[in-house]
Amino acid sequence: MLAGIVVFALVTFAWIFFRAPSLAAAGRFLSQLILHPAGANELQRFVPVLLLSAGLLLYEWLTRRWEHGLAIAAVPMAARWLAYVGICMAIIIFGYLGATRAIYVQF
Amino acid sequence: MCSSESTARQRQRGPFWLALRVLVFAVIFVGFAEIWFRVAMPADQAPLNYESHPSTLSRFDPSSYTSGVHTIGRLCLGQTRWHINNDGWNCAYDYSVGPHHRLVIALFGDSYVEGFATNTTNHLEAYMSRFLRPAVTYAFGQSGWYLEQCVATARYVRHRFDPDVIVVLVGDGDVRDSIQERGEHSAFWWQIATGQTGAFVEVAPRAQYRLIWKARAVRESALANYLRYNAAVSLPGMNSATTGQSPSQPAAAVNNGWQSLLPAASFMIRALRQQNPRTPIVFVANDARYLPVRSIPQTPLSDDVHAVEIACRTVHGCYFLDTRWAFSRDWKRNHVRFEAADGGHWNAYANRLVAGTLADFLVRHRIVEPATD
Repeated sequence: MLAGIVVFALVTFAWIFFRAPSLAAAGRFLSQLILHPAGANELQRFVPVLLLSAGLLLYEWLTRRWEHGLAIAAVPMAARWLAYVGICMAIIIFGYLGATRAIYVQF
Repeated sequence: MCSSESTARQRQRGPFWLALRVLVFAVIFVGFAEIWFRVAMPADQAPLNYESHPSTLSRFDPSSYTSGVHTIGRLCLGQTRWHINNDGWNCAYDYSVGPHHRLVIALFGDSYVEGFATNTTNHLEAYMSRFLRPAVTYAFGQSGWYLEQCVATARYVRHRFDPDVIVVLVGDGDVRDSIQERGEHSAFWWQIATGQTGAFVEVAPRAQYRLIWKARAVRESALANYLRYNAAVSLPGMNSATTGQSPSQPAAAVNNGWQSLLPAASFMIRALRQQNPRTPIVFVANDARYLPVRSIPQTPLSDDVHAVEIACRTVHGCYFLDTRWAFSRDWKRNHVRFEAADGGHWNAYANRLVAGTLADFLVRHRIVEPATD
């Protein structure tokens, strides 16, 4: 798990440079990250996202020995299809459905 | 034959069974989504727009969906109920046409008057009708309307309802967006433009609004409503706007101060006066809400609103109400916010405050008699 956390932190750090409009902007972001690590006063608006992310990470951890996260062929069909419906609903409700640019485009 | 052999044989049957399973799943999923977005998370339901003739007036179709819920965002929050009355406006009560035996106040404006952000019983016109009984207030507004669209609508209202008082809500952009040279906001709405003589002229809509069959069909589906209105997804052949018409061309980002808007504001106010020669006209400013009370005299109104205020002074029987005082004093006293769930429009509390302030203003200036119990 520690290795996973380290890799995640390194990749997220690298994405700062992919996502920033310029190196100067990336530098400003990093300085704010050091000076205000908990953010200004808007941390509470990220709580739902953090909770959802924690849930997904927990699911990933619990299914870490599976071939992939949806390796549920052995589950009864009704339960499987219910899971598929739930995933589709989650994509509709929480997914980004508009046009999006790949994170690497502006790099 | 054991079950594993049966399962393996089924998987080998190829694309037909795969397609059949996908189709069955799609039907189950759509059925589940339709129930979910009607019961658990009610999707936004918008009334259908229509354009009547010869008024070229855009409003809601009173012969189709007359009630529904309005929700905001992906989580369908801030649920309010709307009701389309006999004349096609979002109002709890019907409007009486023709000669009337009680005072009629006609209220014009944009989405703040249209009122989807609150229940119909908490609308501006509903409170005004209560505070000024037996006078009744009829509201005429749609999302995105600017001052010239209100002026054009007032012609229809004069002909049909013969109001005794006219109230127009004005906010940032109402004069600027009226001017065609600064951008056309909708092919279906009126604007003003500089004519050949250099004076302003009213420009009629260049297109007739027709409801496409897709809009009517899509309206029946809760899933489609969710995608279109809550998730703001552009469905094929349709835009993702809600009740307002989307701008066909963005307005030019020019701001030369209220002086540059004064001729346009004066033209529209005089046009309104010409249509209603003996009717008091009150302009209500929709401006800042949380200013410190002592700073209001030094804080200018937004350019459009200030231009309307100055133009009002030159027209007889024209009044101007600055609501910033009421908002600021109430905020200082009660610390209750004025925004609905969408974070911008007035909530029921703010509607009541504005209605009360306006009612006091009308009584104080002897435009309307005090309410009788």
